[in-house]
Amino acid sequence: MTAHAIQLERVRLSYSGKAVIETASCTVRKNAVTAVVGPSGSGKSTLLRTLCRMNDRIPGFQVEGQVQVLGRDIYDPGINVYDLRKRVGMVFQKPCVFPKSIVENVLFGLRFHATINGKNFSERAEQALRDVFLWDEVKDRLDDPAHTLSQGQQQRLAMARTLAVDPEILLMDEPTSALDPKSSRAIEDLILSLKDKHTIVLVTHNVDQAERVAEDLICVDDKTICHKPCHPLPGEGTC
Amino acid sequence: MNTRSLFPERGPAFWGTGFTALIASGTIFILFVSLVIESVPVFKTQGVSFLWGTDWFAGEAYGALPMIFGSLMVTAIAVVLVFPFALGSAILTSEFLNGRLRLMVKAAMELLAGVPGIIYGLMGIALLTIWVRDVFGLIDGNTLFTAGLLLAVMVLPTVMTLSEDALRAVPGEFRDTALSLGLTRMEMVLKVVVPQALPGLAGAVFLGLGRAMGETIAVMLVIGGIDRIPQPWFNLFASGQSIPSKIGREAAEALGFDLQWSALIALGLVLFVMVMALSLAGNLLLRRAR
Repeated sequence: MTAHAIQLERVRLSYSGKAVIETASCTVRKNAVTAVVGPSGSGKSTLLRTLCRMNDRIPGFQVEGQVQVLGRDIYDPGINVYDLRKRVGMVFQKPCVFPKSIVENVLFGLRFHATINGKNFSERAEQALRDVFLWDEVKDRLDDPAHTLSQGQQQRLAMARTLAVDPEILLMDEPTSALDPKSSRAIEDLILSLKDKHTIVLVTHNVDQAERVAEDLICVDDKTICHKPCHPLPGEGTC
Repeated sequence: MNTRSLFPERGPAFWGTGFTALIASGTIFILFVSLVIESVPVFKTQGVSFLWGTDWFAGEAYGALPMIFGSLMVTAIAVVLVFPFALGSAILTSEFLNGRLRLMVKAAMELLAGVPGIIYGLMGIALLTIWVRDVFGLIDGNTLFTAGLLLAVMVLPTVMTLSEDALRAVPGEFRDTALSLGLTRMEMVLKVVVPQALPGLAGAVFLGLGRAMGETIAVMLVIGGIDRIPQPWFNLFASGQSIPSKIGREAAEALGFDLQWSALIALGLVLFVMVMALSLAGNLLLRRAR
């Protein structure tokens, strides 16, 4: 059994023939936090979205090479993309809550996948909210509209909604960039607490944040990527 | 003291554009006032019973209810028929077609929206009345249903393009979030995009209905032209009359006959208020959607 959750081999990503990433080969360890850093427009988000095929909808987007996720080439024609997205969840830059209650937001994805009864739904919602340290703040107002929460709380709610589906890999696209420093710290603590159960890939433009939470670093620049441990031992190379 | 003027800049541009805006809004106002003034005689003679009277005999009695009923009925038939098709084609265009194909469909729809009513009317007489007669086994194909069906065809492009705009106005984050949770595209559309776009979709329907309610010539050609409420009232396959078709038929001959003219103008006033209410509701919903 491989210790890698994700493995890229000579991957080229392009929009209508124009390369965003010319060549990428790297691995992501299981149950570790890997940060993807690089300047704006370098293709960090494109790379991340490739890992759960979120770019499929974009006309002209093309992937060459092999993208192995959880042991399978996810661009193989036989792959069920909806199952893949259940196993590889994604949290976006701007917290996006649906115009529903807090609890209905948490259960939104789960309701499409699980064949469990009502009581188990509320247990799953509670567990997901506990996982993101939001339970104590919202347990008395689960039926309130989700947009009444603060931005930081909404981002944690979005994470709870993704976690409720129980993905093995969690992709996060600059999840703290729209938040104040206090809420950002809360998300960072949350990321650290989740890595026991999940493999986390975090895109961030904040190198300090990457060093605080990540074990491994993937640097994206100049249409290519390189890979290094975040806290290198003496004698280990850097990018 | 630092006071703020309501019109901070009063240059020639302000006066020029202000003048044209005044003319535009003043026209609507004058139109409304003249409708009210000209309809006073019929209300003086018959009181408000003009609105719920069921008989219309020129020179004797003027009752507007059959026409009001006819207008509401054909508009209701049109909305029931148009909504599923407009929504379906809007979903296909906004969510499943890409780039050029989407623009081509939109351009075709916008072209269709500009086809004159008389063309639809001729198509209605030549084809629709005959189909309705044969399919439903009627003696005459000129019915409220035929008029509603024709109106549905006429307003489909308008409702469809506005609905498509409403669907596309839903931010991409909602789509991304739904897909990232493992929903299929159809689940995403039905559970996330459509509910988010609902005010805009309703606005599209209301604006389309505004057009349907005011349509004269096409309806006049296929509605049958009989001033009565069908028996029973929900019998869609009876001939009827709508407000614009009534006015269209009688305006030329009524000019100069005081009370009949006034009664027709009063019908126009009723239609004006009904269409304004629909447009207002539609615009409010569209604004909320944006």
